[in-house]
Amino acid sequence: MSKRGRLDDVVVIGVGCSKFGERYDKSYEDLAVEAFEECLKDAGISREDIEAAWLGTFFPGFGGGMAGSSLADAIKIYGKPITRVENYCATGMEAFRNAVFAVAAGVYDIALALGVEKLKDRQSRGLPRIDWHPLLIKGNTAPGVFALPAVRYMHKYGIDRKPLARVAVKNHRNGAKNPKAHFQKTITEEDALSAPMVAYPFGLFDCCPVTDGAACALIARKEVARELKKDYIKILGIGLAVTSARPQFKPDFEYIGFPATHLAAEQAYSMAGIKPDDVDFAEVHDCFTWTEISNYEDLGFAEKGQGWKLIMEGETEIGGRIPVNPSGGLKSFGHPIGASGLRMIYEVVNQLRGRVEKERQVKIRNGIGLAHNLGGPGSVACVTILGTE
Amino acid sequence: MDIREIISRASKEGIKYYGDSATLKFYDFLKERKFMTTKCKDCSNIDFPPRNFCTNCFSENIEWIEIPKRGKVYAFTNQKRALRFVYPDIIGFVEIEGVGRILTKLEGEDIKIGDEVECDFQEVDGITLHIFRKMKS
Repeated sequence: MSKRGRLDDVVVIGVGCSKFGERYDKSYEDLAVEAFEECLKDAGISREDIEAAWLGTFFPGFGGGMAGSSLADAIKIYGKPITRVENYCATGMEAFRNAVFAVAAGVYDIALALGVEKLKDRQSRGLPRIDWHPLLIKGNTAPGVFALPAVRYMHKYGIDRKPLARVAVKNHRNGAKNPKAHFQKTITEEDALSAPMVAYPFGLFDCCPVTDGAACALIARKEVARELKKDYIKILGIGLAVTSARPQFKPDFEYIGFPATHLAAEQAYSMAGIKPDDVDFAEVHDCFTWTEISNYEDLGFAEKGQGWKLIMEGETEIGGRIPVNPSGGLKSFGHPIGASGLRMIYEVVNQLRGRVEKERQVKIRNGIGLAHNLGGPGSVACVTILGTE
Repeated sequence: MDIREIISRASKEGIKYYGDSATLKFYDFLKERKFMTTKCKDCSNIDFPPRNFCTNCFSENIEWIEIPKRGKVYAFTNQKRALRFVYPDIIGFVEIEGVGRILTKLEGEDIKIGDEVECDFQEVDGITLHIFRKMKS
C-alpha cells in the first residue's frame, strides 16, 4: 500500500448537484448556489463552518470562473482561502483532490470542493477550438482528438461501431431514469448507428453534449462527521497522473487507450489497498462512447482489447457484474467540464448511501465505488475510490 | 464578420506568433516546399515538431533534416462538423520510417489504416502547409 498520509481521518459529509442541461435561465453563480444549497443541507452544517474551498472551472468567462472570488461571491464566504484549479476535463476531481488532501494534512476540519461550468452561452459550438501549437493541433476538435485512437482500436481489435452504439444506448437508458440528467430519453442501437457523423467513427450519439451545471462535495475530518451523526463516505484512495499531451511521436505509444488512466488507477488502488475486482460500480469519463470502452481496460475491469466485450455482454449495465455510469454518464447526464468530476463523486456517494432513484440503484457488495475523470487528449486522469464504513 | 473568417485569421496569427524560432523556420522551409525537422547530432533523436534543442538529451547540437515524403496511415478521422474547415476534413497520423508518426491533414478517397500517402504542399491564405495525399495504387 502506498503512502496515505492521514487520509483515514477524512470523509465526505455532503454532496450537491444542480440540474444539468441547457440552463440559459441561470448564471454561473446561480448554478454554483443550486449545487451548494443541496450540499450544505445534506452535510447539516452552516456555511460559516467551511474553512477552505477549491473551485473547479475550465473556461472562465460569462459571469465568473477566473479565481477564488467567483466562488466567494456566489456562496458568500469571505476571508477564507479559496483556490481555483484547472486541469483539463479532470478539473472537477482535481478540486476534490486538493480539498481532500488539505483536510488530510490536518490544516482544516471542513473544506468544500465545487465545480461549475456555463458552456451553452458560448458562441459557435460551445467549446472553443483546441488550438495549441500549429503542428500539434491533433484534431482541432474534441471528437477529432478521441476519434484517432478509436479508429486505431477498432482496426487492431477488429470491431465495428456496434459496441460504441451499445455504450450510448446504455448510458441514455440510465440517464432517462435520472431527473437531473441533461438528456432523459432512451435511444435505440439503430438511432445511434444512423445518426449524423461528427468525426468518424463518432456519430452524434457517440459524443457527450455541451452542458451547463455545477456539483460539489463537503469534506471533513471523520471526528466532525461523527459529531454530526452523518452517514459519511470514506475516501479510500485518490490518484492523479499526467502524461504527454502529444504522445503520438513516441514509437512505443500504441494509441489504443490512455496510460494516464491506468497510472492514476494504479495509484488509487494501491492507496486503497484494493484490486479492480473489489469495485462494486464506477462512474467513468465517457466523453465519447469509445472512451468508456477504453476506460474499462485502463481501469482494470477488462484486459486490453477485451473492454468492448463487457458492453456487448451487458456486464456494465446497472444489473451487471460491474455497473458503469449508472448516472447516465457524460453521455446522458452531460459534461459541464469543471463540474463533471464532482458530479461523479456526487453519484458515487449517493449510490453507496443507497440514495438514488430505485431503478438506478446498483448492487452494493463491498461498499466500494470508483470515479474516473479524464482530461485533454487523454493526458490527465484522476481516479477516486470511495467506500462505506 | 463571418465566424469562419475570424477563426481562419486566428489560426494564421497562431502560426505567426507561436513564438519559437524553430517553428517559424519550419514554415519558411515549407514555403520552399521542403518538409524539414530537427535531429540531435549527439543522441540521434529526431524531434517533431522541430525544436532548437534536443528534447531527449537537451543538447543544442542539432541539425535540420528532410523528412521522407512517403509514409503509411496509422490512424485517421474525418471531421464532418469541424467549423473551421470545409468538409471533408480528414486528419491522421502518418507513420514515416525512421522518423516517427506525424499528425497531418490527409486527402484522398476512402482512406484506410495502412494506405500509402505522400507529402505535398498547399497554399492557404498566404501560408504554405503540408498535406499527405493518398497514392494511386
